[in-house]
Amino acid sequence: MGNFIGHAGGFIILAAVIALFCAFLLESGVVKDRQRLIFNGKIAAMTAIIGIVYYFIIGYMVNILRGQTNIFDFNSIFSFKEIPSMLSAYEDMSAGGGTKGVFLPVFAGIVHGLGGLIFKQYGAIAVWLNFAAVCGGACCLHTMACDFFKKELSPVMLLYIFALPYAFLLFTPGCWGAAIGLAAIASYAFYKRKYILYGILAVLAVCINIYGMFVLIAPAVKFSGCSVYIKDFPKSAIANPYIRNGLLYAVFILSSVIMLRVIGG
Amino acid sequence: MANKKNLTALMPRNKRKETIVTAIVFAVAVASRLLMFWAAYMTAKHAGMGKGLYEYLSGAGDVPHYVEIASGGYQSSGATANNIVFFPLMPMLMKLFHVIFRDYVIAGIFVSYVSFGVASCYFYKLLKLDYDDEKTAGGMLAMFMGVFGIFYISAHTESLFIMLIAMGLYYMRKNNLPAAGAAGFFAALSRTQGVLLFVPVVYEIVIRAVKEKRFDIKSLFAMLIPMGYLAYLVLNKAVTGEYFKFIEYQAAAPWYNEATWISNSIATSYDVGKNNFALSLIIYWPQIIAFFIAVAAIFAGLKNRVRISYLLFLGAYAGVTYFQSWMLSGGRYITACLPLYIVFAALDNKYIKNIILLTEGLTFMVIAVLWFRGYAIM
Repeated sequence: MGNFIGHAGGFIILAAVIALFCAFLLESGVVKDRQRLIFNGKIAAMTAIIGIVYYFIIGYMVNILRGQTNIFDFNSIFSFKEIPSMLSAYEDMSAGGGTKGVFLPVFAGIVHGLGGLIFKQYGAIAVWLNFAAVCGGACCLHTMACDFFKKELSPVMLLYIFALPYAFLLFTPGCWGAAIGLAAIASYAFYKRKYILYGILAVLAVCINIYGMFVLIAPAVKFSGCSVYIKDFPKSAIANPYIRNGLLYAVFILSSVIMLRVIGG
Repeated sequence: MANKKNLTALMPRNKRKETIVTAIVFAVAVASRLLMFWAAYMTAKHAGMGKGLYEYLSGAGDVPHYVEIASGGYQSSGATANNIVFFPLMPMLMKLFHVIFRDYVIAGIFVSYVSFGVASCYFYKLLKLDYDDEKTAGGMLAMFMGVFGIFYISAHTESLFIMLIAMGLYYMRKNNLPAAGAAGFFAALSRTQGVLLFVPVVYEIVIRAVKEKRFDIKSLFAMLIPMGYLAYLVLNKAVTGEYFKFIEYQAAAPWYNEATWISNSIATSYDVGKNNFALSLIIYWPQIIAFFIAVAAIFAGLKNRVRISYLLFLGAYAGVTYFQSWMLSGGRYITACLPLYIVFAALDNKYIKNIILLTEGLTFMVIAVLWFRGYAIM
């Protein structure tokens, strides 16, 4: 419980620092659209809360299915898949077993470097970086969705993404969140025609994790001519609220079953 | 167009009014300390306080260390060599006023009372820059009833520190950078967190430079603030031969304090408090709660459009305060963070403000009485 309260303190002061930085951007005139910044802040906060809720859900499931710990011991989440070897890699920069070969050392290097500045908090830094990338990616996806679809549909689209099976891994100290979040931000850069920025973020996303390859979706959609069909989505079945909510319900059930299998062992 | 002669005639009267109001604020502030001191002391005495009052005030907390430094200076070896961890400004002032009072403890208490009065005057003027009378009065009341405010009446550095911070922030707002720098220099000599005044001052300089598209050469006076901390390091070098000797002493007995991340500090507070219920109520849980209140105040301040430089100081102060591996005085340190009361003043909801004031006042009295009864209020 002490660990939980402590990390909550670290997390919340980091959120305060980010909020103060955004306030600085507004006051200095770097960012002029206050309403847009606040709205994106709300999307980021919603995403972060989803991540925190996942920690509680998983802690609760571990408590029930494995009976090993109380629900506030989030270290139970750090025992899934390749996360333990990744945590070792962050600390001692070893290659780590079961990682994605060339991909992990980039993220491990970033975490290790930052850990040297922040009292060797490697696990926490990895979590923060993943949260930051996922929140940033969510804001970018939301902005793109508002442009492509009706504005009312874009929050639902985000819900679909975070309800997908294994979405909880985005918020763990593994590098999936960083890679996929960066891929989403890179896609937004591509959408805004900032191709150099896209290239840099795309390379970084792919170097961090194989799932960073999602970054190729944006140019694939553009050059294949599929974007026309995406813009027509509101006219298709997804616009029907019954079908849309039914699909969301099905995704939730599927994710829950998969999480139960993963956590239950 | 206004008559120029009438405006000139008005100005001296406003100045007189300002002086009278400032004098009243000073008198009320000092009187409030005396009243609270008397109430807490009488309550503790009624409950059977063992020691005499002077004896108690002389031995409370860090007072003996300040007396040792004021009377004998810093030592390079021996039992009092570790006094180098205490910053020099308070002992210097105790030594100065010892000439008048012939007693270091009395001199220290005098410095505390006068500093609190001056702090209140500057804090009042600072609040008046942004808020109306009602909000200003609310902020002043919240500061007067600071939960660990009992330390403002003894020979500790709290009053001196908040005076210098209030002065620094006020002169920063008035763009009087030489004065702000000087206040920050002395604040950095009073306590570790004093150097953090550099953060809001630099922020205001940067914002002004961006908006006015020019750099004011007087901005260089902000460098006085880190110079104050540098002076303390030079003192370490002069006394012990090492610039950072104080870190070594802080990590050893009796403090066992090293720099660590905030989460470790809070987790340690919880884990230690779990094994000692009494101490958890007066030391560990108050400092855990104080941290979250400080961070919540940042968000409340952002929502209520409190000046960003104040919130930056609040965030830096809360962060640096909790970079300690074995903290015992988190509640006391957070109580001395002035921007908390600025955020309180900025709140619009009267019900929430009243609940906060009531909770604060009751908690203050409990802490004050326990302090007089010799409990480990640090």
